[in-house]
This record gives sequence, structure tokens and C-alpha cells, in this order.
Amino acid sequence: MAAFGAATVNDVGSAVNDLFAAKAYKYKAKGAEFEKANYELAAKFARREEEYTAMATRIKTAQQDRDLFKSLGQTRADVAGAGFTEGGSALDILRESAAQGALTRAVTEQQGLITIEGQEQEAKSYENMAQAAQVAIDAANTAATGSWISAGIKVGAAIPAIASMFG
Amino acid sequence: MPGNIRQFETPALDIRPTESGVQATAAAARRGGAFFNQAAEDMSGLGNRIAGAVRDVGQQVVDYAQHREISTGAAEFAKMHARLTDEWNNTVKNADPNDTSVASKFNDKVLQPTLDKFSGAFLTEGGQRWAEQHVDSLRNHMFERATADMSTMAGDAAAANVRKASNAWSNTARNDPSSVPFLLKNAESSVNAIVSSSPGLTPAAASKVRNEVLQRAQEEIVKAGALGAIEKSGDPEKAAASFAARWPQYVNAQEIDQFAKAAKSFKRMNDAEGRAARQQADYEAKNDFNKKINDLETSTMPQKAGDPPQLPGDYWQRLRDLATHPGAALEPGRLRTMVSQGEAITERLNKPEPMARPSHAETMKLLSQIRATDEGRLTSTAPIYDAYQGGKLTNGDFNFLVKEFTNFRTPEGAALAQDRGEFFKRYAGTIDAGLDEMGVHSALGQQQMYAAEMDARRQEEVLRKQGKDPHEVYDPRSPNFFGRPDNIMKYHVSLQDALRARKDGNLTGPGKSVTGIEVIDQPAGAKPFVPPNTWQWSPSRQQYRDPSGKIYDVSGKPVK
Repeated sequence: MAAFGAATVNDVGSAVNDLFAAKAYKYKAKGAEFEKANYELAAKFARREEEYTAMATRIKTAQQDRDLFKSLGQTRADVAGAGFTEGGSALDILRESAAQGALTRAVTEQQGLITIEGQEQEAKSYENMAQAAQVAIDAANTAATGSWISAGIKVGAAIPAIASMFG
Repeated sequence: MPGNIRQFETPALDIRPTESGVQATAAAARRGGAFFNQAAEDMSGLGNRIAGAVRDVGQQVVDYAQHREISTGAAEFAKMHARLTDEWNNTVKNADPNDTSVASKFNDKVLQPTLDKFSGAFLTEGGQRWAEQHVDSLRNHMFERATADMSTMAGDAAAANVRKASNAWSNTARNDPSSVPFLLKNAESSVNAIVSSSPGLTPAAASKVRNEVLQRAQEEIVKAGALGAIEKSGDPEKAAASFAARWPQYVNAQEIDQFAKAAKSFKRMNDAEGRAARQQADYEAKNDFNKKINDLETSTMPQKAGDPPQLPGDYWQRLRDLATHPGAALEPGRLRTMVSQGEAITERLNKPEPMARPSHAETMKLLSQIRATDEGRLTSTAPIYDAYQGGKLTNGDFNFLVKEFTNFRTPEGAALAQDRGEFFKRYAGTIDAGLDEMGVHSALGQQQMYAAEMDARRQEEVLRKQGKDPHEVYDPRSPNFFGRPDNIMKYHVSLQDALRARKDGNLTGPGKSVTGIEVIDQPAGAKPFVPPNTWQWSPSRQQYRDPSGKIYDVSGKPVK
């Protein structure tokens, strides 16, 4: 049978240490989960940026197409002015202008949405950081309370030894 | 462009993706993880601190528990040590010294179970460590003690066995001094065998037995042989010197010289011993003879004081037997006296009782001789028997004198007789005013002295029967003191009475009254009255009493 002694006390102390270590590992796990969730969110946001870049590319391509169209129209006008028969009509111009206007409006609106979304993501990330900070605050408070308790226990343990000097 | 047709000029369109959200989220991931790590470190640190506190408190508890266990254990250990020591001492005390398994049995049945039980009672590490150290120490101590004791026991047993044998060897050597060389070799081989066959002996103990005990045994053999040779030799010094020369390692010259001197006185002591033995035998024979003679003499005494002495049927046969007794030659006078006494008693049986007063006077005379301290002192009862045979003593007075003579030779009787003698010497003048300067009583006074002494003796007997000390009769502090004035005056004889009695020469003439008792003449023509043997005589009342209780006067006439 194992005897009651320093090893026993050490085992109990180690058990207490391990219990708190388990709690610490839980915190670390939660921290990792937190990082994972935020990185996944950042990735999601990055993929949305890809879509926006593709969209911008398409818009730029459309604008280049229009510049080409406008160049061709000038040429046709010059041809018609030279008496050639091939040329655009006024309705075509009207129709094309309307389309360009709508596009411009759509692009402007989309840009606004993108900006809002980015700000919301930023706000959300700050909220997450606040929650994480709260976890650290709670843990620090718990550690402070625990320190008071452990200090009291140590003082209590030291009293008999001190008393024995005067007893 | 024809005319003024205007078309919409599209500005340079571009969508710019914002990175702020992505970067903020990524930064939150990194920063948030740091917060959790910080919390984890806090928990880990708290765990360390609480674990440290638990260790501190636990160590205090452990220290206290260990201290308590060790304190209690120290007292219990001391008791256990004392108990085990007592048990071992008892075991050794009652053990067979030749039994080599005593220590191992004690270890298996007593020591080890006790130590195990003691160790098992400790629960703390420090307590167990302390207990184990002490148990080991005690076990080692008990082992060493047991080994030493067993060795001592084995040594004692071996020495005792050698001593037993040594006594026999010494006896043999003394009876047969020529056997000494053989006995010396035999002693050596026997001691070696005893030592080698004893497994419990330590080398030191074995060496001690082999050297000291053997040396002592051999010395005793040689000395016994020397003594035997000296005792048997006509020249003790020469015999002693031969032993000293032959075995100087066992006996020295001084001892031999002492033996020789002892031998010289040996013969003288033997002679003295023989003489002492003979004298002792004579003494014992004489004592036994006297005892048997006394018993025979006592057997003649009657049950009642006034009855005549009678010879038992085997009186003469017992005397014949005593004539061959070894002590008879040493006490020839006593045998002759007993023959004379037998004859006196036989002769007196056929004679009448003498008159009381002359008998009393004779009694007082013989009594004074019994008590005398000079050469006139009676050394045997022969004068008493002579007086009895000559008709000078009544049966009662004779019995009284014989008894007094016997009693006077016992320590108790002598002490009482001394008190009594002192008393009557002191009161002689008070009782008898006619006592002269030479200490001779008047005739009347002597009668009264007799009466007083007889009454005093009766009072002694009364006290003795009551379990009291008869010496009280003569002790002035006692209520039973005989010398009380009212009592002593009953026996008083005035000077006038003494002179008148001396002048008349007849104490018992008509009209005479002695101390209130009227004296009358015997009727004319009457023969002296001889009472039957069964009657009792009262000297103080001067009356007889028969077995039925009826009273008669001195002439045998019934008293109304």
C-alpha cells in the first residue's frame, strides 16, 4: 500500500495543475476555432472579391467594346458624309446611349454595395475580437479570484509553522 | 458625326473590390487567437498557483501526520521494546539451556509478528520510514541479544555439564588418587566433545569453556587426588609434594602445603568427631532414658490430688526394659530410685493416711528444699518417696510434692515458683507474726503458711483454666493479687496465738481455735481416720469430700 506523504501531495497538486491545464487547452482550442472561423470568413470575403474583379473585367471589356462601336460609328458617319450609303441611324445611337447610362448606374450601385459589405465585414470582425477579448477578461478575473484563494491557502498553511516558533 | 446628335459619353467604369473586410477579419482571427491564448495562460498559471497551494497545505498535513505518528510511535516503540525484552528474558529464563531452537522460535512466533504489526500501523511515508529504521534497529538488537544470550546459555549449559562431570571426577580422584592421570585426559576429551557438539556456542564462549572450565575441572581433579593421597598417606607432606611436582599447572606449592597441614589436623578432627559422636549418643541415650523414667514416674500419679499413687500394671516390666536401655548405665541412680519408689508406693498402699498437720509440716520442709538454691536442694524425688514411705506425707501432699518437683524443672514452673517463693518470703512475717529472726516459723504459723500456699496454688489453677496468666496471683497490680489485705489476713497468726500455741504445744486441744476454725478432740477410743482413696481432702477447710459431694470432717464424721 502506498504511504501518505510528499508524493501523495505532489500527485494531488499535479492533478489540480492538470485540471487547470485542461481548462487552458480548452481555451486554446476555442482560440483556434475562433481563428479558423474568422479565416474562413476572410476567405469567403476574398472569394467575393474575385467575383467583383471578374465583374470589373467584364465591365471594362464592355466599355472597350463600346469604344470600338463608337469608333465604327464615326467611320460610318464619315462614309455617309462622303456619300456612301452605309451608315447608322439615330435610333441606334439613342438605344446605345441608354444602355451605357444604365450600365454606369449599375456599376455605381454595385460599387456602393461592395463598400457597404466590406464595412460590415470589418464591423463584424471587431465584434468577434471584442468577444475574444471578453473571454480573456473572464479568464483573467477567474485567475485573479483563484490567486486570492491560493494565497489564503498558503497563508493558512504557513500559520502553524509560524505559530510553532512562539508555541 | 452628323449634325448635333449627341450620344451618352460613358465615363471609365470600374468596380474596385474592397480589402478592408478581409483584412479586418484576418486580423481578428490573429488577434482573437491571442486573446484565447492569454486566457489559457491565465488558467494554466492559476492551476500552477493552486497546485502549489495544495502542495504547501498537503505538506503541512503530511508533516503533522508524520510528526504525530512518530511521536505516538516512539512511545509505543519503547513499550514494545520493553515488552519484547521481558518476553525474551522470560523465554530464556524458562528455556532448556541445551535447546538451540529457542532464539529462532522466539523470532518466528513473537519478534517478527510484533515488528510487522508495529510497522503496519504507520500510514505516512515519514512514519513508515521511521518505523522501518527503528524496527530494523530493534530486530538487529534483538538478534544480537538473542545470539549473545543463547551463546551464554549454551556456555552455561556446557559449563554446568562439565561441573556435574567434574564433581564425579573429583570424587573418583579423591577415592582413588592413582586415577588422576586418566581423569585428566578424560576431562579434556569430554569437554572438547561438549563444546564441539554445542551449535549455540560462539567461538569466544567455546574458548572460555574449553580453557577456563576445563582448567578448573582439571585443577579440582588434581586437588581432590592430592587430598585423597594426603588422607591415605602416612606422610602427608611427602604425598602432597609429589602432586605439586607432577602437576604444577593445576596445583601450586602453597595449596599443597595447605593440604598437608589440613591432613595433619584431619586425623585429629576425626578423633574429635568420634568423641563428639559418642558423647552425643550418650547425651541422647541419657535424655531418652530420663524421659522414659519420667513418664513411668508420672504414670504413678493419681488423677485426683488426694488419691494415693498407684503402680501401673506394667510398672516392673517397664523398669526391667529400662534396665537394658543404653542410658541406664549413664544414670544408674535413677533406676535404683524408681525401684525404691515402686517399693514405697506398694508399701504405703497398705498403710493408713497420716495426720494432716504433721504431713503439712513435712510438706513445707520438703518444699523449701525443692526451692533451695544451696547444696540442700533436692536433686531427686527420693526424699519425697522416703517421707511418703515413712508415713510422713498424706497422699495429697505426696502428689503435690512430686508434681512440684517436676514442675520446678520446667521453665514455666520455675518462673512461677520463683514468683510464688518471692511472694511467700515477703509475706511470711505478715502471715506468721511468730516468725523468728532465723526465719523459722512458729508451729501455728507454718500451718497457716501451708494453707495460704495451697490456696494460692488453687487460685493459680483457676486462672489457668480461665485462660489467664497464673502469675497474676503474685502481681500487686492485678485484681487477683493474693496479697490483698482482706485475703492475707485470713491466714494471719498473731504473736499471742503463736506464743500460746508454742506454750501449749498442742494446736488442736479442746477449745482451741485456729484462724476461726474450732479444734476438737478425736472421740475417745477412736482410731485414726483413714479415708477411702476416692475422697478428696481440702487442706484449707480441713474437710473431706466423697465422690457424691458429701462433706466429712477430719475424723470422717459427716458435716451437716
